[in-house]
Amino acid sequence: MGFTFAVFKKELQLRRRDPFAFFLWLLIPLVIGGLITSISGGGGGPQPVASLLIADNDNTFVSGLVNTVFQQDQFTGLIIAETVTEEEGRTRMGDGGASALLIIPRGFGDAVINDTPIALELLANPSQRILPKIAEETLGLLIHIPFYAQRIFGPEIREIAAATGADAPPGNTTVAALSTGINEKITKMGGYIFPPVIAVKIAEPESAEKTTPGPSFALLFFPGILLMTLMFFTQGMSDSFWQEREQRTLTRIATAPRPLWQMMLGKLLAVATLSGIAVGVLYIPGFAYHGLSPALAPLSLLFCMISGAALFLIMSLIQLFSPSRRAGSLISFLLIFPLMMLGGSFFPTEAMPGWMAVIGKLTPNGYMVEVLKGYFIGNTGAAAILTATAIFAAIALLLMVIAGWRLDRHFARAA
Amino acid sequence: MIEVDKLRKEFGSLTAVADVSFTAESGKIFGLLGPNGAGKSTTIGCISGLIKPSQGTVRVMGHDVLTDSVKARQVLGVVPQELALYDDLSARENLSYWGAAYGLGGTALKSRVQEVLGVIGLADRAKEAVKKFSGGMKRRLNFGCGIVHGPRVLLLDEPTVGVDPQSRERLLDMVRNQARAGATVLYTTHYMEEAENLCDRIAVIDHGSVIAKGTLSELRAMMGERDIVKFSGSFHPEKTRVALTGFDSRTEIIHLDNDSLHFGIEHAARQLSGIFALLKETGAEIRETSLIQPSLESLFIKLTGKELRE
Repeated sequence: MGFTFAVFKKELQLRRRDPFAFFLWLLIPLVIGGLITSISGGGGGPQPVASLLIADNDNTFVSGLVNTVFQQDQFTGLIIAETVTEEEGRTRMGDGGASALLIIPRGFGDAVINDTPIALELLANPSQRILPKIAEETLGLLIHIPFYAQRIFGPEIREIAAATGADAPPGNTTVAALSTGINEKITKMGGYIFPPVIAVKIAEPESAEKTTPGPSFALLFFPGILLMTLMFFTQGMSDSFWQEREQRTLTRIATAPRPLWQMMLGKLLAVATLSGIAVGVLYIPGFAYHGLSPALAPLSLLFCMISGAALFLIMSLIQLFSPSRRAGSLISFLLIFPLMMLGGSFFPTEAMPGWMAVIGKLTPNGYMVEVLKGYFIGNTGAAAILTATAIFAAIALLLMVIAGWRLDRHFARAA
Repeated sequence: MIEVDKLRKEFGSLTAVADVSFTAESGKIFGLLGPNGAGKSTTIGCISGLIKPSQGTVRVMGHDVLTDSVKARQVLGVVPQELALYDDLSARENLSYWGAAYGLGGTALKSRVQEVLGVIGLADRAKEAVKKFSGGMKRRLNFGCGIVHGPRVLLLDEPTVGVDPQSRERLLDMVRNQARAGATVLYTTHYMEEAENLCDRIAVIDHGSVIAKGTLSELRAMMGERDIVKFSGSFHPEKTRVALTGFDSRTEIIHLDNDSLHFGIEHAARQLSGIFALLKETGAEIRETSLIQPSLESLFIKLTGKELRE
């Protein structure tokens, strides 16, 4: 096994001397993956929320209503409203600490009740583009509410306002008259403004499982990026047979007493190790971004290493059976791009038509992606990924026998 | 010791090696001399186990290269014609790798690598990447990789091709030292001077066949004392043949056609003026003349009718 270790060491030394190629193997999938995730809208990460500061200089019943509207459940997740003084609001806006500042001027309540013009002031944060727009649009919708309320219930509103401003509470007769008036108007308009009532029956799903939000697009895509890295990396490594043949080191090693399968094994161990390093490097940002548990790392890393070895042998067989280096390179590129596309490295199988997803899951890399995906999102456990690891280890062993035979009997001696 | 018996290798209809037989002894340098394409590399390939012979047997230190290949390869060291090195690795890393390929390991490998670095004169550049080396340094390292495991039989396939004179001399010294240390050395070349200066025994090979073999003195004896005279111009073949035979009965015509004349004759320098006059009488026009004194090259011309480098 001394020679196997020598080959393993030599391969690592060669990659260490050419770090740029290794960096590219990592960078290309990251760039492609990043672009596709962005184009597809991502789906991962926190949803942006507008921070709206409200400075209520009016402090009346009506201005309080505006303030209350922004605190409603419908707006949580979209706008976080916070009541501040105008001075504090302007200071925080100056520091870029909020998306927008809404200033309710003194006299706002009276203006609404008396149906006279008045302006609300909205200061937008110039460094943000979308979030202030959300606040502005929401405010624009709210303005319609007092307008229509004024048109319909103007007299009643003014009477209520007068009553709340008086020293003594309104008498029973006044309250009864207001109630009757409002009720009559609602009854008259009921046919126009109330839509038919449709009863909605809430049905519980048969399974007792609680509905939880599905995994994000980016998380579904993450295993595809890992496999894309492995595909590019193993394709590049498989070219080393041609490189060794052209620089005559392969012919020379064929005259040595050690069987060539030992050389193949050494290369395989190097590929598995480098696959682990490449995937491990991608794990750091990937796990942090998706909030994956570090406990998922060891087994999935082992799976990626064995998968890398199996993919390397597939790529190597293409090279070893190709008539020339150019043909080997062309065939492997012609193969890996459709495989990556079908196998979920460009789009998750969840985003594919059904028939394509079925085919994709049957490809070696597609199967690997599904195994990893299932493990990451919690659909499968350790047993499943260990079984898949064992399957690919067995496949790798079989492929190594074929590749070793081809290398020894034909490829190394054909130079 | 290398024993090659009736070795034959055919690639389809092409016979690359035809019934080649020779024995190379321990502590001696055996040369295979021949032009490019003569079958030297194919012979080396068959001995090293890289090429399977069509017929014949090859034994290395008593081990048949086909039936006992691992033991045969274990005692073999091969220095290929082309550089077979990892350019991105250092000299030390290359030597360590090739040593491991022959089963060396641990401290034995380390000390042997250090020793070979000294032998090939690269101890002070051991950590440098090979791609920074000159052609001569690469050649020396290529040689070092072939001897790092201390082989008892060393195969060298034209190891000095493209090497500057100084590096060539250094390489040839290293080859001699291997033989002095007891190794059997098989050395192929198309440089006549190398074969003459280096080899104890020589086999001259052309078109896959050994056309002469023996020590240098034995081969010279085959040539006799005759020089080779080469004329180019225009000749009347029949008249020329009759005239030359009449001039000296020991004259041996090697090649004669309308444009060229090659023949062997003793003491050619002294007889040139007479030969010129004779050829003029036959109506020949001579444009170029050359005289080759007895050597391996003249032997090769005598045996094949062509120069070694043609």
